[in-house]
Amino acid sequence: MLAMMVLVQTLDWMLVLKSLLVGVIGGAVVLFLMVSKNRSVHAKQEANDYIRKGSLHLRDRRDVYLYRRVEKERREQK
Amino acid sequence: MQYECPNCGGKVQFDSASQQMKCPYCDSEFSVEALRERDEILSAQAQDDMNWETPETTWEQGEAAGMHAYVCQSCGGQIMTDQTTAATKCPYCDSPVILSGQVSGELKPQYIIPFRVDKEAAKAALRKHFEGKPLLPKVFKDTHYIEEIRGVYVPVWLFDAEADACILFKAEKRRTWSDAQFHYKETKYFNCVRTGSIAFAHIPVDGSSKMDDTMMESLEPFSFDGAAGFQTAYLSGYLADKYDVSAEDSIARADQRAKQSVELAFRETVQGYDSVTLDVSGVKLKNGKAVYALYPVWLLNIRWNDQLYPFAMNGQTGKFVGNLPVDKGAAAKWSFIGMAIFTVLAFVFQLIFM
Repeated sequence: MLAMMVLVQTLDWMLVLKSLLVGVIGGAVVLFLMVSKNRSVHAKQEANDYIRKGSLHLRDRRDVYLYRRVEKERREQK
Repeated sequence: MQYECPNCGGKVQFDSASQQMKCPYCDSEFSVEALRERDEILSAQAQDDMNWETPETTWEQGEAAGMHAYVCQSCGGQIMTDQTTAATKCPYCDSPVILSGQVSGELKPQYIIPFRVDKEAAKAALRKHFEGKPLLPKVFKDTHYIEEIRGVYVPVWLFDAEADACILFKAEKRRTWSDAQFHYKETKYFNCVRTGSIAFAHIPVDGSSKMDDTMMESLEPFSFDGAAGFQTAYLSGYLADKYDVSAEDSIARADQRAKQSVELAFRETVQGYDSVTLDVSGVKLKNGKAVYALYPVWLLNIRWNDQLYPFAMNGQTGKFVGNLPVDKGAAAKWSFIGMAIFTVLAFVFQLIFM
């Protein structure tokens, strides 16, 4: 009992909370990956398998520069 | 004439200090030449113009002799088979079917892809589909229903087309550097124009309302190289569904997929940038042609917990698809195990390195 009280007082609860948060996210990822193995029916958004080989011909190919933007952030002074 | 800002859409104005066009809303600056060229591109965008030619061939007198038509008493689906093959259950909803008469007077398929994968391979594929699925309920794997797999020719519309497109992309190049006082991040913005053409052959669209479209697309690709001119002899031993979704009603789906592929193909020619996004797309389809064909699919329905689970296998390539149920107890168990492992690893990692 005394040992438990000492443990509770000395334990870094922030450390435990962060670990639990990582654990919850990890558990959710594991569940998502396992459920996705049970799913194999998906709509096809494109028709890439049905493009005639060699039929892509570009008549015009232009890259036009528009403008630039520069952002700056002051460095931390040590 | 007023130009719109390519960044925020506001009206840009001439800035005498920089001698450039400047947007008063987002402070972006552009050369007059760049804005004029962009405006020309936007004005010249081709509007979508999808026109398709659809088939008109029907069964001739006597051609369908010996073909029986069945009707499902539950879903109303109509299937046909040759006179040597008996149909007792609907391949889509598992309900009994009744003989409704001879096949005649309807649109005849022009092509058929014969079955290349036999029933034994279909059964093996189903068993394999259940393997390595820890969340699959154990009782689901009872394979006594495996004999009920049926080979069905599913009606599809196949669309050929040539696409002409003019597509505008927004692209960015980024770089960072620092000096003694500041960190700098520069982003350069570009408009990338791609104009050209691309052709498609045999885009399939499911012509049966009873066959789930998503499931049929999951089975792709089907290779038309394996197709033959339709003859009733190919149907022997198999069921064949009749189309009940017209070519006109299927066109929209083919359009959508073709357009997406055109944009993706053109997008791949925009290279050397850190990010590329689609801005304006104009795709014009021409010389559109649709043909009616039958594609081979092995079908099986499994009823479990009052829910029907359909499974399908591509009868040409052997690709197997079908969503499986999830055992909630197993899901909870594995989630807890995963959570425990990650919690312990995170705890130890923080103790050692922080």
